[in-house]
Amino acid sequence: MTHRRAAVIGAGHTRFGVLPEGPRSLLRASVDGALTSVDRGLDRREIGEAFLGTLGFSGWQLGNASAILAEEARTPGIPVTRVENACASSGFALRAGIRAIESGARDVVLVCGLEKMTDSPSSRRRYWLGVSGDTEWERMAGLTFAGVYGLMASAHIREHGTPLEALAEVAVKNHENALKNPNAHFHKRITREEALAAPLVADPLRLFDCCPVSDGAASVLLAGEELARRFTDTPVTVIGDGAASDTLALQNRASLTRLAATRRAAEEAFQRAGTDRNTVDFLEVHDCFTIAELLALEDLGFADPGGAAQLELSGVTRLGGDLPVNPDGGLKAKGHPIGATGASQAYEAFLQLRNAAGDRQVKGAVTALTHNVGGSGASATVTLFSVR
Amino acid sequence: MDREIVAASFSEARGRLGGSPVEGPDEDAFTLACEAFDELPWAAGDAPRVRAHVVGELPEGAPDDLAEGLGVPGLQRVDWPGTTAGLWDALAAASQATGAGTEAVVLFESGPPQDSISQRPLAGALALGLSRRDGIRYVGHTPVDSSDRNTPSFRSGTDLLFGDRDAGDPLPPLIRYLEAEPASPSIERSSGSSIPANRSRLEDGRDPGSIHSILELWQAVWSVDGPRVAIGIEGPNGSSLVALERHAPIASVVRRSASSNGTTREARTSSTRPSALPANLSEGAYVPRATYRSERAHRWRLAADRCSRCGEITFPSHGRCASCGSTDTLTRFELPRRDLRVEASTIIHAGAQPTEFDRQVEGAGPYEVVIASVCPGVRITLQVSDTPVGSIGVGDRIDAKLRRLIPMEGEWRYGLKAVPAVGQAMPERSSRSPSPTDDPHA
Repeated sequence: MTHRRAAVIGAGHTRFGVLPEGPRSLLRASVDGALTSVDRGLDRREIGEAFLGTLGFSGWQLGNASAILAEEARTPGIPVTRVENACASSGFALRAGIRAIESGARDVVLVCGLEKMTDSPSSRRRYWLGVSGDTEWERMAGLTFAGVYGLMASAHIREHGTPLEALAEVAVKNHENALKNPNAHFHKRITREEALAAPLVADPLRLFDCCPVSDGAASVLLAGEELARRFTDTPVTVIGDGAASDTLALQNRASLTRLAATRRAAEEAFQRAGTDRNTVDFLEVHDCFTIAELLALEDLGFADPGGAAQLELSGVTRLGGDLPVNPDGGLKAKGHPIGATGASQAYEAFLQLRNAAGDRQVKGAVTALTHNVGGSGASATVTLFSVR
Repeated sequence: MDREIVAASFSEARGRLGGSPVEGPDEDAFTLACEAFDELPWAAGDAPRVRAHVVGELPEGAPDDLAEGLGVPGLQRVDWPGTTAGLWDALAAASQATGAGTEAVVLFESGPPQDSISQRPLAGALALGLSRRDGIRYVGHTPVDSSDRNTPSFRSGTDLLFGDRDAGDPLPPLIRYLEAEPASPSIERSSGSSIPANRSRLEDGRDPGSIHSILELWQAVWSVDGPRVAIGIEGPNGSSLVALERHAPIASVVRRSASSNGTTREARTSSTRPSALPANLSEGAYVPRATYRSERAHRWRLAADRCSRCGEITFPSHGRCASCGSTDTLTRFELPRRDLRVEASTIIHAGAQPTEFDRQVEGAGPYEVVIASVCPGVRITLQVSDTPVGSIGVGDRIDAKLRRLIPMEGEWRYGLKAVPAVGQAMPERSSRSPSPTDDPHA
């Protein structure tokens, strides 16, 4: 590996949930948190460029939101770019930051994700929850993402006989993990029976199969690997990353039960890292709906098609299992402020690999994979972090 | 050369969007006309020559819409002043048209605008296929003036039997139909009505059947509550019988009344009278009107291109082969809209719907959405209508029908919805092209 690699030297995270703070406050808190987390400190004037992942939910500052990051980060004058790929916005912002470091263009880069979702009326929320889906067919047929993932779940069940208990298990596990994450939206233990009896949202998906609507922000500071030890003794290196796209509408994909973007992104990430799946100690996957976690395990290559259900039901994916998945509670229970999720996953990798995740620490974790999906799979990023 | 009626199809409002006085059923005169037209069992080879004549009062812009909805380039509009004269004009034009092939007449229910946005009252529509066939004489042609018609009076629940007022020959099929029916239709006769006389004219009249009786029937359909109506069309060398069934209570009713000077006027009552659609109702994913209109051919009729150079199908049609980029080897055709297999399904419960479907959920409850396979490589996503929620599952077959979707920018957006498949696959029909095309699955 001859090219320059990026390393995470700091990360900040607000609480996720229904928060009183406005978007500017959230952004500032997460940036300040990231700066504070740098072990030997970082003068914010050293930040050479910044990227902001946000959907602009509810229409709050739809255009030019990058200027707000520059203001709240108090890094006047640096270039800031807003990145929008729906729920994968800050996954792709992270990717842009990694490229800026790897190319040598910048030495220190700030990557943020932000969404403020709960302060608009419910009708406006539902309007915005679907804006990243296909308008021509899916939206006009009356679908938001719950419906699109409901369609995928129905096809997955038909194709693989996927038991509903496996979907419920994803929710139970992620709620359990979120109990140990002080930043999580939900701190509520649920049972499989409760999940299976919850009200239907988009058949076969029920209430506990769906992630919540949350506010929150997360920030990550990247530096060139050779500079990283100036800031900390335990930088978390980005050893590989990948990204891919797919059709906007589910109907136009080769398969209704595979996310080709996830598969391609994962292949690229592992190929860049020059490593294989056996080295990964835990996963942060995009579980906007419980079925999405099953799809992720299969498309990332940790289970055969149709095999993720058994992986979940067997306990392998729980904290303490052989392959913990979403130790922070995932989108499902930690919450899913759309633009913040990719950066939030990187934050979790930073914490875990530095053995700083507290009660939810994955013991001995050295290598982590994060997986961020836009929409129903129109885009995806996969990032591999390591402290090896 | 004369033409005969080879087919007739009738559609009426029965969609299940209902519940909200604003939305009403997801069918209207426009979608019904398109559906009735699609139901015509065209003779093979005739379809490419289809030309439609439209009778009825259409809203501004509708003839263009209707051409897209029907998928035919030649569309003549005939203003229909509420009499059969306009229909007759259309029929006369159709029967005098030169060239081989098939003509169609599409009737709109019309009346005083009551829906300030769509200008399309909920109604019914009738499509008649006319085919030139040597040796078969079709229709007498005495125009019927509006003044010679009086108020039809039907008892609630009465089945109607209609033939031609000037019919000559007996109508064996109609009579057989009557005799075979367990509950034989009773014909309410009332003094002064033109309707009761029909049957005797059918039995001892002199002329073969004409169309105006169908029109009259069609109008009368809206004034009765009965479940079943029969229409007879009779000629010396052939006859046809059309039985119509009412699937659900109709949304609106036309009452025909005669004024003192004999002119016929229409009054309308409606059980789900639509009110004006607020112009700002469409907060939600935005489909600009111009974009929507530019996409009608593929959204409504699944217009696709087949490339004769590489054999690939491009859907939607873009005028350029998605595979080889060719622009001059493409043949426009329509992908099948019937008997499509469901590959995924979900039921959208309250709270999971986009904002623009709020009124539907409030009025009619959860709805189902499916992804259906059209042909290898092409799937479409459709909301389900006409059947109880949850009755369509993976592996089932559906037909795609043109329906109202949602109001946007103060007007209706139309698109395909899924209804349970009724039977065999629809034969492929070429679109805006005079040459028959091959099987899209080939």
